[in-house]
Amino acid sequence: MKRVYSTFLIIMILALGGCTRDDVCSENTPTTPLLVIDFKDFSNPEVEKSVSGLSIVLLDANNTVVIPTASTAQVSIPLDTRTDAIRLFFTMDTGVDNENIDLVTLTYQREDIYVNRACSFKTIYNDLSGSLDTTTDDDTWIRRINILNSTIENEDEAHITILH
Amino acid sequence: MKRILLFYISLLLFPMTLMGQNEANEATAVADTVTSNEKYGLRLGVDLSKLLRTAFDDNFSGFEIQGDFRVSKKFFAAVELGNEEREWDEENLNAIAKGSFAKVGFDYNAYNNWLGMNNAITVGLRYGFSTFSQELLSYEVTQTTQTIPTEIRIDPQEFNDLNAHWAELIVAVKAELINNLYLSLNVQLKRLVSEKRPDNFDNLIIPGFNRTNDFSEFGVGYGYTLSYLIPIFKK
Repeated sequence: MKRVYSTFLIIMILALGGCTRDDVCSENTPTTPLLVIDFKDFSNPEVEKSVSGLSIVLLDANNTVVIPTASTAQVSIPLDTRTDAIRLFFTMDTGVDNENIDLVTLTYQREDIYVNRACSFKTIYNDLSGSLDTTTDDDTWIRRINILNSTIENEDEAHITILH
Repeated sequence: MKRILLFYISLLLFPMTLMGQNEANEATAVADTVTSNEKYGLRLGVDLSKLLRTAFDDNFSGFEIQGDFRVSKKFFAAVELGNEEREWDEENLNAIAKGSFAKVGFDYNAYNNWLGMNNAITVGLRYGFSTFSQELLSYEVTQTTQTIPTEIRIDPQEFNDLNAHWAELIVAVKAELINNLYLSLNVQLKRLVSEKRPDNFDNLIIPGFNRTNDFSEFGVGYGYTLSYLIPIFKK
């Protein structure tokens, strides 16, 4: 009889305890990766070079700020999970006299990968390529965009190097 | 102790239970000469909880029929068959699983009845098997930043020919309401043995197994069954 009681008890505990971890998507679970960009010196491509007053703004109806103004040598930016391309204004010396705005277009193929019940799906990106708009801008601060890894599956390493 | 437990469970089950037991007690008081004359036969039932959920839960429809056959004083061979359609309805993930299942095994009655009573507290094991399909209706990809918003993708995908096998521990309390009519409550603990998963998706719900867990192979279930015993012989 005691056995029946304890069986009931064990089942109840398992029933209650079995369904807690699934319901919230853990922050530690990798979901849609960000694009990691390193900034390096054009004259010495192995050397990191910080961009002074860098800001990144999306070319959309609201000019959404992706990265607010800061001097940095590495940024991580989201790509658009809804379309296969994204256009961004990369601004050096934002708000200062010699402000310089460059337009960069990134194109890619999207692929949705199932993660788990709580996190649903994530988007990864394949065949990444980047181009600098030089047709309307003959004074770019960006000199070159190098694709290091055309597949964006995680944020472990830089996918792109921008030389300036 | 046992009688108290059964009394409480009977109260929970149905007020009729008490009437049924009183009648049974009176009957045995009269027929005092009866020594041990226990009924053997086929008991057939239907899971009321699934019928109720079909009526009141928009995300569920299904049924389950059960049968058991007493093979010895303590053991019953048992079978459950059912069909279910159940929706996983979350904002970021919406899918429907539908299919049939069968469970085969035995129950052991751990309850010693008073003479003439046919109640039971059973512990049983089952092998469960399900064939089903899933339809992924819509989902939203998860991002760590909402700087660039995402969208809900509505692109239904059908995954057919899925299956799953599991082992199940089932504990039930069965009370005889009136002659040969039983009401029982059961809880089930299941462990997935193997499953065929869809590509780039998962089995969120397996008919008969219920919802799966991302981080364990265990599942749970319950049932509330009304059944009728067709007596075949007495022993």
